[in-house]
Amino acid sequence: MRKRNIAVCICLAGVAVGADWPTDGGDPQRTGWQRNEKVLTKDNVKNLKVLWKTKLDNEPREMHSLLPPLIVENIPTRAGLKEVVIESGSSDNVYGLDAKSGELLWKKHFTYNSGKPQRMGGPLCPAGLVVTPTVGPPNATGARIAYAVSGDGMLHSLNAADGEDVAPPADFMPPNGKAYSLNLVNNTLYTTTAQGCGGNPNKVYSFDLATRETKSYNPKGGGLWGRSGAAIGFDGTLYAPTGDGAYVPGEERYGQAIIAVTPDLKYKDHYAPSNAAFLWKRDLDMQVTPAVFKYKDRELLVSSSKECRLWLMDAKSIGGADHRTPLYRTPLLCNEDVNFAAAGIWGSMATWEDTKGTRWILASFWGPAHSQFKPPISYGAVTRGAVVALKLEDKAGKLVLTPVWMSHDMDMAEPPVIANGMVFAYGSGESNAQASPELGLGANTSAIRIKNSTHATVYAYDAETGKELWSSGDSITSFVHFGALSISNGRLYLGAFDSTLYAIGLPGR
Amino acid sequence: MTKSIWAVRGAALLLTACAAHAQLGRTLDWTTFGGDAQRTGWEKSDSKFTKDEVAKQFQLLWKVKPENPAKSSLLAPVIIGNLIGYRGFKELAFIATSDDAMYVMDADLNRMYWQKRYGTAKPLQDSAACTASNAMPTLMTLGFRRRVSAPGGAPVASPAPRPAPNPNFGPRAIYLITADGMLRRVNVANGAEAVPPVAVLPAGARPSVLNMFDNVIYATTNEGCGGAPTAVWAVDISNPDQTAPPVVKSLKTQGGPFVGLGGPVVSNDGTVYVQTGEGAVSAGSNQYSNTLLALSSKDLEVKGYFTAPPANVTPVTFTWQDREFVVSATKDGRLNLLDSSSFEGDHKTPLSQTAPLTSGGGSIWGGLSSWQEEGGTRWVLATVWGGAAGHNGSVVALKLEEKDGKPVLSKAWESRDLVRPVPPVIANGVVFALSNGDGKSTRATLYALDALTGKEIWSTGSQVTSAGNLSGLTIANGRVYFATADGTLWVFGVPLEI
Repeated sequence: MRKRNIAVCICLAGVAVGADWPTDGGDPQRTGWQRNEKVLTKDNVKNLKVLWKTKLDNEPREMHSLLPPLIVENIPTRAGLKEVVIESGSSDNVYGLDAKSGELLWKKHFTYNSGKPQRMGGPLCPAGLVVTPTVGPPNATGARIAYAVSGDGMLHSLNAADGEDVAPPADFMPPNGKAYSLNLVNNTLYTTTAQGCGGNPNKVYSFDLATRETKSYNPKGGGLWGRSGAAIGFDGTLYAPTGDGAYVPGEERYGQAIIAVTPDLKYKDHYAPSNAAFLWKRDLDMQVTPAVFKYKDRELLVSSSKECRLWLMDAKSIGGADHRTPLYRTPLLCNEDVNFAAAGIWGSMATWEDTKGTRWILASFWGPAHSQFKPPISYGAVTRGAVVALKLEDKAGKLVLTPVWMSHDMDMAEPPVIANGMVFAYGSGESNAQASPELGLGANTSAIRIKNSTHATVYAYDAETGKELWSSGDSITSFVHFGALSISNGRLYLGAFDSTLYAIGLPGR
Repeated sequence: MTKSIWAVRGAALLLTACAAHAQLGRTLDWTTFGGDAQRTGWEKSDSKFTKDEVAKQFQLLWKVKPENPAKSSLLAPVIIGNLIGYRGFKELAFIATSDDAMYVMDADLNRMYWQKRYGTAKPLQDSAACTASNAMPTLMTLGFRRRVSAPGGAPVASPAPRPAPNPNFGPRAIYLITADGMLRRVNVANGAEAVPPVAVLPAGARPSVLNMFDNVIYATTNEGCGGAPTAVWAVDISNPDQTAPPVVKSLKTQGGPFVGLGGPVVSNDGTVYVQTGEGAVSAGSNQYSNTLLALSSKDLEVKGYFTAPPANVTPVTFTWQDREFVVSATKDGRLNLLDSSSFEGDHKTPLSQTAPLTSGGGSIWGGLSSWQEEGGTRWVLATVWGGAAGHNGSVVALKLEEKDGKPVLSKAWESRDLVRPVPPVIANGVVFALSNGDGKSTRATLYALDALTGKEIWSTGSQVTSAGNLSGLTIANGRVYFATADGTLWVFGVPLEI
């Protein structure tokens, strides 16, 4: 047993070296926690500025444009060791940029190669590169491989230094699908798919980089559209939400659930909320990638949904004996109107541990706070969204999540990242309404939503109090759809809809 | 004491929903009185409960007593099973009142979704019937129902396809005829009216329960309210230009008043049936009394008529073994089984006629219901008021059978005693029957009966604290709705954890 744990640790350590941000959420557990930040402090964060912004030539597809940036340092390029930003774009583009200057180092465009035409299918199905890539660990020379999936479903292995193929493209998924952020553990890539884009089923996929074998598992629920894909536990178990679908365990249909899947993609466990039928009826998808973490001698995970409550789960048995009982279930934080759009928790969770050993859970939500949700610290009425911080506490032998603070109002709060005692979050400025009184669902077009969107704003908060320490104000001029903040070595990165990649940091550092 | 149907005749409620969310295909609408244009009262497939679960799970889910200054009657609601609106996925109950108000409830959460008081009710003083209450609003939808042929050729109504998004209005709407006789196109999402209302009926006419089929709204009016004639009305709303006024046609029957709780009935082949009550008869001069009229769609040409002393009952129509049947009720408590041939010849010979449904007399009241077993057995249900001493009323179930090559209705069971029952609704092999109560010594009680045997499965017991208001029953998605005389809407069904 001990040998296996050591082996797993070695593999995982290979992914998260230095202050890299090699994968969406920073690590396979999707914690959003940059443990190695040394540059930014609560004292200097007020001096943050946009250090550079680089307009890339990616053409947005539907609402999709730039995906969450990945950061890897000490990449041996022809010009020496560089910290490289790997940014991907929806029109089948991957870019490598110099993290210090924003200079474009290389660009790779994938030519669509499938018998099926590349067709967009509305905001949900942009039919391009929609999977946030991931970067593997360095080899003996320090070279690293960025793995990306193009719109035709092919897996590409690119040298992070110059974007050149280091292996032939491989069949991974059907074309025109909608997959979510790649995750890499033990030399195997994982992703999840949703929305039935391209007529494809919604599944968990894996690709063994050694054998180049693809596997898939279909929980027969809804779309597995946790935005950061599957979170991976410390023993390699995958955890993913199954969106909006029927929960019929007797028929092995696990909609409206969190599923646990073994590394070789076999069903392992699931948790379905006791009100899953209501969630399904009201389209309150389970669509938040869990965050996995260790707490004392236990492995826990936390997730949420559009319903806007958090579930704390024990990795040993995520739903208890009946698969309907988590360790703890919070009251509703938001979405009192029970809306399916522009409300609730979307994307992913975040978690970190302070120096005193207190475990914090962070969630971001859209829309108004619930009228009965009153955390001890808050900063005015929340109508458009906010970040909420909760502490994990042991009360009378029972683990509970205790709200501590709620941020000020922000326009569609997105999943935060944590570094050095600070929480960084952003309001996307995206118009997330999918229906209007006049048009019904006809309002859910990219044209309407783009027109009604504004711009993203990044904020820095004291992680213990939620007090705002800094804001980007109007310096970002476009909105962000399904992006994410990345943080590494004193810089925050965010890609916007207009294909501009922003780097925010301390001038002169 | 028989309460006049006209005193409780409700807002004509009809709602045709658009296609449900693809992932939520099991949520159903209850579009109109009786659930369909044929007034069957049959919810054909309800995935939210089984017969076995009724006894274990049915309970009071919620009740609401809207602010109701006029103390008017609430009508049995129509239901949108799944509105995908700007405030989310909602199952909505639209509750009209007799004084021109509309309350829309979130059926899952027991929350008011929107409400509107039209305030157009004109006090009607021209007859006793009209002073009983103000004119009532009527709901219709913008949906388009088209007839298609099912395998085997039986015509059925298709699900309403989603109309193209209309920037002036929107894909989900209801029509509302307010007390001033104006047809209003109302957005179900928020109650807004995107186009001006159009006058289609005389103000204060108090139309019957409406019906809608192939984009035509049907209603009847009786002489004496708002100066309206005794007439059948057809309001053609098929014009894609929704700003254009609808084409309104009418047939003045000049005889006895229209009777029955459910207004006009439209069969699967599009024929419109209306039942007139007692009065003079002279077909040559369009003077129809004691008559079941068969009318052509849209233009209301008389296709045929069947004359018999009627009960105060709306007929029911259905397709059985590729034939269209109509069942009507007679004054002496019998049911007539009719087909198109019954409206020709001597105009008074049915295919078959039952014996009086109760041995001690009594009358059939309100409307009839009908459903069909998977195996093809067709059932007809009638509500009987009165009868032998000690018998308040009951639901009587009959099977349609072939005997000697002739279709006949054979009595299968009679329910327990019910006080002034209203036409029952049926789902998943369960008949829900409401003992309305008399408003004095008895209150409303809802019963679930085994549809095959009439055996009582469950009841509300003494939970309901008032008598019903005789406006009918609604069933949708595991919930049964009815209104009581104290202005409360009661909802019983299968609980859904929220």
